[in-house]
Amino acid sequence: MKISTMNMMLMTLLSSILVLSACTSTKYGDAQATETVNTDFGSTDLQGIATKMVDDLLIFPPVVQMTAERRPVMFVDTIKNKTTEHIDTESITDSIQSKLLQSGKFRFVDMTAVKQVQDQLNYQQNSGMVNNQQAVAVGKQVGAEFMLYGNLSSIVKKDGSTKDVYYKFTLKMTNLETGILEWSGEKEIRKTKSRGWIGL
Amino acid sequence: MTFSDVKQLQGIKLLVIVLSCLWGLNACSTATTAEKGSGDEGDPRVEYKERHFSTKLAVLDLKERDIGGLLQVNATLRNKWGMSLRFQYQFRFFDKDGFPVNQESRPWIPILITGGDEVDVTALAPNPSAKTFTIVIQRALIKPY
Repeated sequence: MKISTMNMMLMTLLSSILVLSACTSTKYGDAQATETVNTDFGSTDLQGIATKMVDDLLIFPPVVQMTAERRPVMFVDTIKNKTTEHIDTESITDSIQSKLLQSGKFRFVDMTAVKQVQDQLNYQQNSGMVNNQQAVAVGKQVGAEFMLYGNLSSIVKKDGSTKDVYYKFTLKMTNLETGILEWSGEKEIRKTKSRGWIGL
Repeated sequence: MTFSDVKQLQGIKLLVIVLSCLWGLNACSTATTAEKGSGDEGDPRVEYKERHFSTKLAVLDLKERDIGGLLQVNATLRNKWGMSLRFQYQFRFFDKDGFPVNQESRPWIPILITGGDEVDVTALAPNPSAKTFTIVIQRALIKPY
């Protein structure tokens, strides 16, 4: 009888483990969905910043006027990460650049590909492998008229079980010829995490 | 212990096994009991993923205008409920033929509106081909921090 009871208990335990282990799974989710895993900088923050900056820039009256008849050329400088976290700020500027390009209002020069472009032009001009008449002419690239750059800073405060994180993203657009700051936009994000009474 | 006691004990254990399995399976479910419904106020541009939002949340005004060839839209959201309402929304844009325009370019935006309060939300179309839009409202899928 004791053996039978043990068997039943073992069966119960195994059934529970089997069912619970079936819960572990990997699945694809919506890349645009809100992410609230923790208070660290996340995909929702990145997408929110990029969307807000692009919307603000494109509805700024002088920019609307300027882009009505032509597509100014820009280049994107770095975003300074002034937070204590390791954040890939290039991915924020990549999103902003993609959205601005897709809007059809701006064009960009890609400074991250300068070396590769030089190598390719050198190959076409000097390797003797490319038909001279079909080789791309050098010295005809268009210079950028505007520069995009900015900062990402944060203030983190902790008090017992509460953690408050405040992010501020600032993006600026400067006219390279005149040095005038033509536009500046800000996006603020606040995240607060409170630990429950159980401590989870 | 008599034979009937043993039988009764086995019955209880069987019940425990079944309940454990059911509890485990329930824990696996993603609780997506979405009751999809378009705007109960009658505006086809408003889509509530869960019907209960149509009674708690009012989309008072949907405005649109052209800014440099791009469609800009604005919605005034009012929390009709007495308590704070946490949800997320997403603007979706479509071209003249009804095809989605850069559907993945606009994220879900989480928002919290206190009881009886009103909030304006705005979006700019990703490119000039966008001619119409919808605003989709659904519950915040993941727990807040």
